Amino acid sequence: MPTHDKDYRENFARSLFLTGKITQETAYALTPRIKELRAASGDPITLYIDSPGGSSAVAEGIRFLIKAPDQDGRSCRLITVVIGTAASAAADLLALGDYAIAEPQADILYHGSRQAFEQLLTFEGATSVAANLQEANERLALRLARSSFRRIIWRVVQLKDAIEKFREGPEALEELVEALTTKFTPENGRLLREAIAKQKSLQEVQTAADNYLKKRKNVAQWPTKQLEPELVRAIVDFRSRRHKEDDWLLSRTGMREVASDFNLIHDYASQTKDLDAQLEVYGNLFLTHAQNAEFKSKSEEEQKVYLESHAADKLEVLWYFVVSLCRLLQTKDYQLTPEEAYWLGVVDEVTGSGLQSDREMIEMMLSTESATRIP
Amino acid sequence: MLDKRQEQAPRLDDRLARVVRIVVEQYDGDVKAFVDAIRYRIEVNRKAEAALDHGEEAPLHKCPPTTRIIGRISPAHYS
Repeated sequence: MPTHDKDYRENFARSLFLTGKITQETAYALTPRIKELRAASGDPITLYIDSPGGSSAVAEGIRFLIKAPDQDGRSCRLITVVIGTAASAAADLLALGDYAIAEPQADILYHGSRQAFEQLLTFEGATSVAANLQEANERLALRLARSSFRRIIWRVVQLKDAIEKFREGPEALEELVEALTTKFTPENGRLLREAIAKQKSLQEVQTAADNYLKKRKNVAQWPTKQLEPELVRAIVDFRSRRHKEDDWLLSRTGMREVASDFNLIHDYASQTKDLDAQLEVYGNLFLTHAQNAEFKSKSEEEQKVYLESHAADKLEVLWYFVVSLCRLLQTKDYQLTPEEAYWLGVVDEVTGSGLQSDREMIEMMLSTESATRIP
Repeated sequence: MLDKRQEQAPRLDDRLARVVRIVVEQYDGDVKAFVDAIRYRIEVNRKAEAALDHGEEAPLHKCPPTTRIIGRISPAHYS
């Protein structure tokens, strides 16, 4: 019998239902049960979702309440399951589960942050609201990217011919994404093509900023206070050159573009540590057969260096692609089938679909290990 | 405002790292081959178990425990 792993299985006995619009009242209603489940054991909590969305801040609060460390510092694993609709903030919550499951009849809908107003707005008020919404979208996109990245890795390695080419070099990312596009409706496939265009642009900004800063002396020793304005100058320089034929001005959309680039590069620096950890785990999947043979012959320390020089660039372009994808998901309306959500890295598993999942791979591995273990 | 404390990558599961090692070392990086091979192995085992339950050895499997057999023997046999 296959081994069941509770970290990857929904568990009705330790579950919560998030239904209807997400409001502060939703959080009030769920809190006692969350506390009860947390107190009973440290086992994963399953959150069943059927919601058109609502407040992102409340959804985030619910997630934090489930996952927050207890007095002994123990966190709790969150398993999310969409049983009907997961739209907007509910879709984000679904994707942010440590393990996300979609039932075959589910609907998943993404769109950017929205804010309703009952009063008249001034120009200053509207500008401030626009800036806040943009910041909210940006943060959600990055958070989503962090959750989806591991899933996307497992998706692209299934694209047999395309992944072989990508293992040869990161410049084959476009072909890899093109192969991924075949899993989507033409309309949603456009999202991936747009993301590739954005990814190239982000990669260029990063490279331009690196080159700009390299010209400064001892930049590595600079305090953040000194480095950040220089980074802004590097981005303004790059964007001005890029838009020299357009009617581009900082006072129009330019400042927003610069701010968005700055946030991304700034975030990338804090992301490096996480990418290093991902590289250590998944790096091998991005080596060619010959590289893997060479990798095996090396010592543990040498292997780390080898992955850094032969797989890091591929993971990096893939990371920028995922960020671009998640940013786009926060801009327009995208309705996804469960299978599309799977291929997009929004969920880990679609029940009954036959699509491979982390759960299946881990349970298979544990089953074969227990079958071969000497009693 | 969203909480910055949550802006960390999800914890990596070392069991997934073990899966990666198996895929790379035993299946040449081919994830599908790994999944297909083990799905096949599990299916073969399942069928073998089912055959055992319904086939020639079924009577042995369904044989009641010794204590129950002894209990069914008439006391007359011992008298």
